[in-house]
Amino acid sequence: MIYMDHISKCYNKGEIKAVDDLCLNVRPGEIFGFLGPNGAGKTTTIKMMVGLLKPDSGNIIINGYDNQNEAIDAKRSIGYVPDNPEVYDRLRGIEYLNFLADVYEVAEDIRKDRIEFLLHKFGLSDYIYDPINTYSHGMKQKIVLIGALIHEPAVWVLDEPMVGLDPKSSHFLKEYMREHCNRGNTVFFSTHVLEIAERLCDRIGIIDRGKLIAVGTMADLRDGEQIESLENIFLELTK
Amino acid sequence: MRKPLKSLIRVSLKNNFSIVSLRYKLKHQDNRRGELIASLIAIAIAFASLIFMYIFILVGMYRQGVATEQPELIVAFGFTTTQFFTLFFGIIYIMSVFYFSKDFSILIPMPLTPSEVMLSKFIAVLANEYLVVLPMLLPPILIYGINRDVSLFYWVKSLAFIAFAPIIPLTMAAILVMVIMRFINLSRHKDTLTIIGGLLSILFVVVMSIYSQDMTGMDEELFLETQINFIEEIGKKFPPSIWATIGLVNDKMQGILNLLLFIGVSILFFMGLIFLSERVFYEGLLAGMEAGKKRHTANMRIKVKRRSPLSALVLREWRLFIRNPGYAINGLAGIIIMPLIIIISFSANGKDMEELISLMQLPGADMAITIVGIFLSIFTSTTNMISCTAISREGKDVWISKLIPVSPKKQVLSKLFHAMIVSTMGIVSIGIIYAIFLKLSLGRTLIILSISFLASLFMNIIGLIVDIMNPKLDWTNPQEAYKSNINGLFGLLSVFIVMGILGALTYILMAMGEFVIYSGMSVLLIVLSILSLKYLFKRVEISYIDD
Ligand SMILES: Nc1ncnc2c1ncn2[C@@H]1O[C@H](COP(=O)(O)OP(=O)(O)OP(=O)(O)O)[C@@H](O)[C@H]1O
Ligand SMILES: [Mg+2]
Repeated sequence: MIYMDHISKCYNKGEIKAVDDLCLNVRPGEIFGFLGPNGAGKTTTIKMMVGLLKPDSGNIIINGYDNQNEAIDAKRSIGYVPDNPEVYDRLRGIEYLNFLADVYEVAEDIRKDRIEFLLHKFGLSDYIYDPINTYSHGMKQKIVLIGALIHEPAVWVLDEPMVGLDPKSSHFLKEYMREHCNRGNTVFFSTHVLEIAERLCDRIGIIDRGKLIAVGTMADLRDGEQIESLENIFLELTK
Repeated sequence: MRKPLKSLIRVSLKNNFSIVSLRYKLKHQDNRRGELIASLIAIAIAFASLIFMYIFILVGMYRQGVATEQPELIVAFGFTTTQFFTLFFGIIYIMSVFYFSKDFSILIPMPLTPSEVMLSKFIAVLANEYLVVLPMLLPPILIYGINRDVSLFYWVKSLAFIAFAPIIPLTMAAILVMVIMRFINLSRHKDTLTIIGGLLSILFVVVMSIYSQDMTGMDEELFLETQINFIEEIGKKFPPSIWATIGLVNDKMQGILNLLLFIGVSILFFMGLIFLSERVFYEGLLAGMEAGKKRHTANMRIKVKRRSPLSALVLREWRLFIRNPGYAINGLAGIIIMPLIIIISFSANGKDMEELISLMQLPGADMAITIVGIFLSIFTSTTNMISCTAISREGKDVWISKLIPVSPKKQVLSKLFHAMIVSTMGIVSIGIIYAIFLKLSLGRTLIILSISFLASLFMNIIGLIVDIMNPKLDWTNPQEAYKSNINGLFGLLSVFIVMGILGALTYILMAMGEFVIYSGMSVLLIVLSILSLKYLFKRVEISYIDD
């Protein structure tokens, strides 16, 4: 569902090679965890997937659509939550959600059900008529999250989605991710919490200094050694 | 001065002139370097032509002053206009810097007193004001000094006067704004009130300057006839200008006394500002930081209403514009103030009005009135800088626009619609008021409305092209997207260029009659709009994929 073919990205005219010749295939029904030290290139990779950055080279196929040549179709298939939830401060929560539902062309009755369901699950219903600039950090993150899921995209791309969420919401999100994948869809998310990655992900990729240094299931990564924790593997690989 | 205050002011100044990001751009981004140099050249040209015009006017005024044995006229003029300018822009500027900066959440917790925080902001504004004061004050001082064969003392004093010139008006602006905000921010509808307060303060200054312009607008004969001492008249409106004028041109004791008076009052105002800021600055500021918020009962029904993507985008543009006081004041000021200026200046002095009405009876007057109306309406509807900051205003939220599955073409179209809505508001308001006051026929009113509509269409497209080429997205304070955005300047510059072209066209076609002028303008504007729209659509496809 996500197919990246030799993608590279440099900043500052090649001074910083943020992503270096990365190839990756994420299959339908899969939760994929993306790990790596700070500055490894996770956010850069994710931004290229969702079309916020243009790769210097390589192609990205999302849900069967090339994200450069069939950008609009690719975008329809994606629900994206950035690492830093910057949203239109001056809109009210409901106005923001309605705006997104309009541009993603979600029918009226469907959007109403979905918004009510997600607001309830994230405990945001009481604040929905307040301007977003009165929201706390976590509340902003929730409104972005709800906005990203409002059109039921096939591919979820989440950049550190659990950071800042309260336990109840983060528990719901994890369950919701699983449900989503059970319907044959895909979740791709980055995280620094190895325990979540270990428990939740079907496969894990580790990136370091722009290069993908390991991909596979937990079993693949352990490479036979049963007891080894993901933390040890991570520390070993990114030395 | 306390050491933390010193470093705070240094940071504030650096930030003000975007020194850090400028340095980064010059070092790391080759493509930006070319743009920067091009911008600088464009600014230099615009600046030089403005200065040239200003000097031209000043020289004329100096001659007039000599003829009426008041050579110090231009000095008085220089001080008055400079101080009015400082007051006028100071109000808007201080409001945005004092109350809409984002860095207060960092500054307030620091061990600084309210007056120190205020001071660091005030000095940054003051530094900017000198960029306006210098080019406005230097020419009259130089013209007078060179022509009058003055003593060295004159030049020494002029330095002191230039240094102190913006202090009184700027502290007045700051005090006014602080007091207004102290009360506005206590209210729940403070965004709306801020806009109204901002517009009213601008209007106040405009009205004041119209009345004092009655003096400057007076022609030579009338001037001699009525035997008014011009300098004294100005002095009555704004005494500091007269202190400065006498202080500068008088070499005797009276000059020194006026110099001391000017500096003394400046310092007094400044102390007053510091004193006041200690008491009201944080109160207004802290109240301003909590956004007005209504409590809603739980289980409120979720309201959903489906719109087409295009209308949803236009609605977003409008809401983000109108709910940000800084944007709304800047964008709407012209629409509200221009018609008011017409009303005030037409109803204020009956004698001028009679004269005008008799002028209107002359053959060909209708045509002149229509053409003036067209230009007035174009000016009002295109100087709001909405289109040339349309992309920049998105700032860090731009990721949403890049993410949504709406073609770049449609997105830029929504921005064009938004700009056209505001422009049309300006055209209609000024067109109708102008038509009523000048008793224009319906046909002529429609001509004014439609030609200025076409002109604003073209200029809004140009504005969008300008902003798309190099949007300024890395701001933290929304004001930066408007105020310190080079695209805004380019946008205004292109408005003046297009108005110049239309003026030239009018002049060329003048002999061929009215009908030819209006159709010539319309055809030109339609052709230019189509061509530029095509380019805009082509250009936006590239920009939205590119980083
Ligand atoms: N806008 C930018 N300009 C220049 N360099 C950048 C920019 N954004 C990222 N980089 C650089 O690219 C590299 C990868 O950054 P990226 O944000 O992708 O890391 P990350 O894996 O998401 O890190 P983190 O875990 O801290 O979120 C870093 O070296 C960073 O300095
Ligand atoms: Mg990151």
